[in-house]
Amino acid sequence: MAELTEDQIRDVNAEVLEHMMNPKNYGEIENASGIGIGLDKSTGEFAIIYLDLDENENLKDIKYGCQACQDTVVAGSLFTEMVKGESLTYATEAAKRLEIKIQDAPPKQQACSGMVIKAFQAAVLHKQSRDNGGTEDMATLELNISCEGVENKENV
Amino acid sequence: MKLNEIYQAKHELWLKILFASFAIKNDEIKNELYDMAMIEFRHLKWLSNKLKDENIEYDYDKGAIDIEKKSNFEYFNYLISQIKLVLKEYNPDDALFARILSDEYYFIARLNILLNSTNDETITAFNKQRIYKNKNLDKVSTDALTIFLFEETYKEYELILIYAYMQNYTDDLVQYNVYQDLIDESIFHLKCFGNMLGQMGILAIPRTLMKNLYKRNDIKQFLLDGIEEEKAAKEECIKLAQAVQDEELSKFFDFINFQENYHIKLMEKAVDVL
Repeated sequence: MAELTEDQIRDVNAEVLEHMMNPKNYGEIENASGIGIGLDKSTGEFAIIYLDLDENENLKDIKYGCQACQDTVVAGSLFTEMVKGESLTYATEAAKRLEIKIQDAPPKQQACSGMVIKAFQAAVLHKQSRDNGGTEDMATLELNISCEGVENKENV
Repeated sequence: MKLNEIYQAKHELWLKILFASFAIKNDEIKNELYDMAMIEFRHLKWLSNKLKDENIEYDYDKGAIDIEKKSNFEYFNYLISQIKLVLKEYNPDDALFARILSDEYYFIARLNILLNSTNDETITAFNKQRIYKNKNLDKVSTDALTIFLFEETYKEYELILIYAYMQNYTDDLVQYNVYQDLIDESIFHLKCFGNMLGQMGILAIPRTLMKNLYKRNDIKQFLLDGIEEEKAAKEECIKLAQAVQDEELSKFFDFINFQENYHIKLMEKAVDVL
């Protein structure tokens, strides 16, 4: 009898299950203040985050989408729920804390959740670029570690 | 409603009927609703042909769909109301819409007959119990099975829609037939996995597809990537079949795994003619 690999063993608790069944804030925002992509170049998987900020830089709305695994779906749902309605400063700090927290997770889960954080950081960069006259459609940040658990060397 | 908006509404209707069939336990009703859903899927195909012929862009965007119902009767009433909502938008002078109208009036009549029967039953497809057919799987196996079913249900839904889109825009007969085969295969897998999710009490509609997945020019690359993905999915299936300590489930995953081999051949066939 074979054993499940580390990648296949994931604790599905009630909260995770709820986010899997009903991902929160999944979708697009038209005319978003910032749009960012977190990309795993080696697999092509990505997460995208849309920010809608008011004049005081509070997150009126935040939405996400992804072409990635369930870990990313759950991470996107949890993160957007956590920061929706908060200030951009709060959300940026929350992203930093999350980035530190997932460093202890197995590489695949690190990458899959990290994709959401990178997407958020890219969306903030896009917003800042726009504020300074930039005309890009969105910003992209690549992951240092791929979903397959290997380093994306170009980005290290 | 514009034609592309009718398409979106019909896409949602297909999902509503299909997932109702996964939620309902009575096999006779389940099969009848499933047949209705498959007719809805053919409507979608014909409608997408019409949109292409009229040079109208369409997409797979959908709104939030609340499929969580407490009883069969609640489902029947819900489906009747949802069919009626779209039905008033059809132009009855158009041959395709005349056909759709006829089908959907019949669906409403059938659902009303089901409402007049003694077929009401409590829905357990959303109770989150995560017990499959009274099997006694340990937590690690149950979690792995849960993740697998969510991943694969979305994947099959995604493949059905992408292949349907590619099929609508190809003039090559070989490609057209390969896409049809792959759609049929994924529809069968979606049915298997959807029913399993329902039996485990964790049924959910797949998330919306991002447009860049199907509105694409690099079809060859998509197929080549898809071949690699199929190989990876095979590995997941093998691992799960070996690890889930249940003979019936293991055999099922071996069966699904073996089907992936032929998908790879079909995709290679499509790549060859590109």
